[in-house]
Amino acid sequence: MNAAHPVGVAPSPWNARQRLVLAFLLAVGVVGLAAGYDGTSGTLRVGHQVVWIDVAGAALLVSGAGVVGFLTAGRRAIGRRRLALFGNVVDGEAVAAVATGLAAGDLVSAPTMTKYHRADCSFVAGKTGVVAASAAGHEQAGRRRCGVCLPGGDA
Amino acid sequence: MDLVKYTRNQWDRIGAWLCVIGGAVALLVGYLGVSDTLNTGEQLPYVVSGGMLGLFLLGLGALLWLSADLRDEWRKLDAIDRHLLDTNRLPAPEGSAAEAAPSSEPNGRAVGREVSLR
Repeated sequence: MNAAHPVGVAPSPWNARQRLVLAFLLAVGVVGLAAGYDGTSGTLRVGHQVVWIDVAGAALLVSGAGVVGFLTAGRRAIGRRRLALFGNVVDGEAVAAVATGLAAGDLVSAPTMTKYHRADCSFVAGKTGVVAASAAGHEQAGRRRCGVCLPGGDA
Repeated sequence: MDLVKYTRNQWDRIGAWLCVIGGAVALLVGYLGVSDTLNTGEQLPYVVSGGMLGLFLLGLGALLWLSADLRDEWRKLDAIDRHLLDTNRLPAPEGSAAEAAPSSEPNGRAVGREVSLR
């Protein structure tokens, strides 16, 4: 699932369809066990009982698969959300810098920094006193371009 | 602590314990039933009603307990998400209603922003 997830709206990692599938598979397990018990207790012929034992065993396996699938789906949903959330924290810091009036591509630096960066570079995220200038302005101030965000392009 | 409130908050863990206890009882009853006779035809119903039902209940208990843990983790992520959103450390996607609407309500239900899952 690569869709956006509404924060706070879903109270759990599972959607309605996954809950429904789990409920169905658990119900299959219950019905299978009940049928198995009914089938085995209705006769003393072992050959007849074995069939119902198989039914109950299959139902148990089906519901077990449902449980494993349900838990795996929840685990994966949390993993995806955690990735999205903490990925967004980094983005959020960059956006915070941009929110000061800078565009993502602006060339910025701070008085204590020896290099200049793009405004969305992670090296300037959270820095105070960030100011924008042209590449020439930064070079004249003795700053070199960042080798990570490559302000001004690859050249 | 208020028992009703505790039960409402921890229904899944309470259910998990009940299922585990029920499963253990079913296994015990199954064992007693099987060991009580040498007739295979009389033993097999206990295999289903005791053994398999016991396994089913134990699995259900494990499901409830683990899903409670996952739900807790989900809520924790929700709280972190709200905190980051309220402190403007998370960008709201363009066109979302988050900027106009409050990010959350006391019950934690009405949040208009969406987090992109990459």
